[in-house]
Amino acid sequence: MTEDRVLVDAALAGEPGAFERLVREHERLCWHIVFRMVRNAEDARELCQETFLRVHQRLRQFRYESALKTWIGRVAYSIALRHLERRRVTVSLDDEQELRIPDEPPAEFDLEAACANAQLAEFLQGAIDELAPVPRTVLTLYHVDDLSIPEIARITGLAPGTIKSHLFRTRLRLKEQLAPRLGKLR
Amino acid sequence: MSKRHEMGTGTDREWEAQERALQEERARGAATHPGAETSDGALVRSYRVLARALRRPVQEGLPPDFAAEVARMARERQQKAMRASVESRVVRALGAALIAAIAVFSVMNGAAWLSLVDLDSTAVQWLLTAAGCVGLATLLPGRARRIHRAR
Repeated sequence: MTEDRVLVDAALAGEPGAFERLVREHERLCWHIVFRMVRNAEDARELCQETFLRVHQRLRQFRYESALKTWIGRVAYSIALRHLERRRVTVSLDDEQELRIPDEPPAEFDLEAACANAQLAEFLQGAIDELAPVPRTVLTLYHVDDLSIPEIARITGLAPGTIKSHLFRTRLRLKEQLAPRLGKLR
Repeated sequence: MSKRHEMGTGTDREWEAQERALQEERARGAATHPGAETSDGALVRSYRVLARALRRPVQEGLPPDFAAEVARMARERQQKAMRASVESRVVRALGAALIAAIAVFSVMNGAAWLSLVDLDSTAVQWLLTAAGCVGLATLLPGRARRIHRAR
């Protein structure tokens, strides 16, 4: 939090290079959120730019109630969400599919061989890309950016229980899609 | 055992396997040698395949000079906003000076001007009515907005 304060104070004071440093430190998280939401690199670049211009404009409103990365993540998420709404992309949060925990045990397979299998990797990336924008973003923030459930909740404005449910259901569904292919690797 | 309880137990088992797979993949990433902290459970291992795929870096799409470019744009926008603010203050000050000058001249010469105008003529009456309408149309919307905001 102290590092955030030093960086924000420097950017507000107009110190040369301070805002650029702030952008560089948070551009990866911003990209992950926006790109996972909109899935179009060109749009995502423009929205990341819009995110940081808004951050610059509203930096005085940052009250240190959360980490700076969470605040910037929240701005990025709101901008991406509004973009999807404008494009009339349905951002449904309801998971209508019934949850079914499989009874049968998973197939035995070689973990390292499975992870090194290019076809399997491609299949999984395709399955992840096919997910709805919000669960896809939640998974990325949790697995790639190592954010905690409360941090993701602050960024997305969703309840921690909803985040947990998205994580659980999405991973279960991806594992179910993966299961027949893992069986063939035996 | 009730179906609900069975479901709850199954859910807990799956969640624990998902989380354990993530922890083991994180530990693998942090460990100097791969294979550290591994689990033998097939369930956890199938989630580890998933966790590893999820931990693959997301396609990077921002150019290397993105931060410098955004910082430059932000600076320019700020300078433009400051210039616009100064310009608007100057315009307001000039407008106020003009109104004050008109008021002073009107007080000084108003009586002489009025004596030259025939207030009973139809043309002057229409002109005054039109001026009144323009004045009301200009002042009323602003006042209505202020009242609305105050509520």
